[in-house]
Amino acid sequence: MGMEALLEAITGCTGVTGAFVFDSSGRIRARAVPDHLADDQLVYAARVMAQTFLGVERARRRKPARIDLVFGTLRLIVRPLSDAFLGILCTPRINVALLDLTTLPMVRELGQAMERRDAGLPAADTVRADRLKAAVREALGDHADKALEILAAAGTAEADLVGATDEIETMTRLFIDRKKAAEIGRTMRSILEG
Amino acid sequence: MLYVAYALSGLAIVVMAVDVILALRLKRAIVGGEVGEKWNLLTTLILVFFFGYLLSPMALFFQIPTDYLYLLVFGVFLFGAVFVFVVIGIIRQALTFMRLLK
Repeated sequence: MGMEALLEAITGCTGVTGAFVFDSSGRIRARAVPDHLADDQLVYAARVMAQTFLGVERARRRKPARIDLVFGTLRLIVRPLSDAFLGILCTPRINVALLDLTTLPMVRELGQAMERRDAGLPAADTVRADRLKAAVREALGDHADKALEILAAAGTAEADLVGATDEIETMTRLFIDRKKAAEIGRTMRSILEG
Repeated sequence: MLYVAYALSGLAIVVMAVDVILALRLKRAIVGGEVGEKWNLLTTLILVFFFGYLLSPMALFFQIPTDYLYLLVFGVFLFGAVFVFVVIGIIRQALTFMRLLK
């Protein structure tokens, strides 16, 4: 998944109203926050949070796991990433332990997505979609056009790609070749499973 | 009455000839798979029907015995039923693929 998609996924957790990634200078790298939050407000908050984070880090001589600030109707939880920070906007009474549990895999993935973006590499899901297209081309050759259309329409989200894999397998079984259908289904699923 | 029968037989031959051409053209467009296999069966049945239709005026002309005529008629019924079965199968598979059917 790309960074924006991951932030959207985090925002989808119960009690979370928005999420954004910012660097130590307060620059917003990616965001999925409500529209009523203006960019300059977010940048200001990010800059203050980054400085606070670095201040706490210097004082304690180690990176804090998170900084948790509660305002009137809002709570801001900041977690460090490899080279940036993740800000999670949520309701004040959110269950932080549960939030950590549900967002942990996404936070890890976010770190990897940032590293890929910084290195100028395409997002992992784009790489996976490209591998699927290559597998389809190799298996179906001249008859790959329709399957590639299905893949292109599916985008890069995992659930959509799983659906597209089923559809391509069925299409191949019905209209192209039964044996190739089983083969292409296996290959595509192994790519999806990583 | 006999001339009407000849006319009907001639019309059936023309329509079936058009069916043969259409089936062979579509066969080129279908690569294979389950639908391809069914289409091959369908094309074979259409060809069987076509040759049967070609011979049907001769059945009238030579006035073949009634027993053989019954055999011919019920044979056509049987192949017709198989034909409809295969067509329904192809339509079902197409609808399943188009997600119009579970």
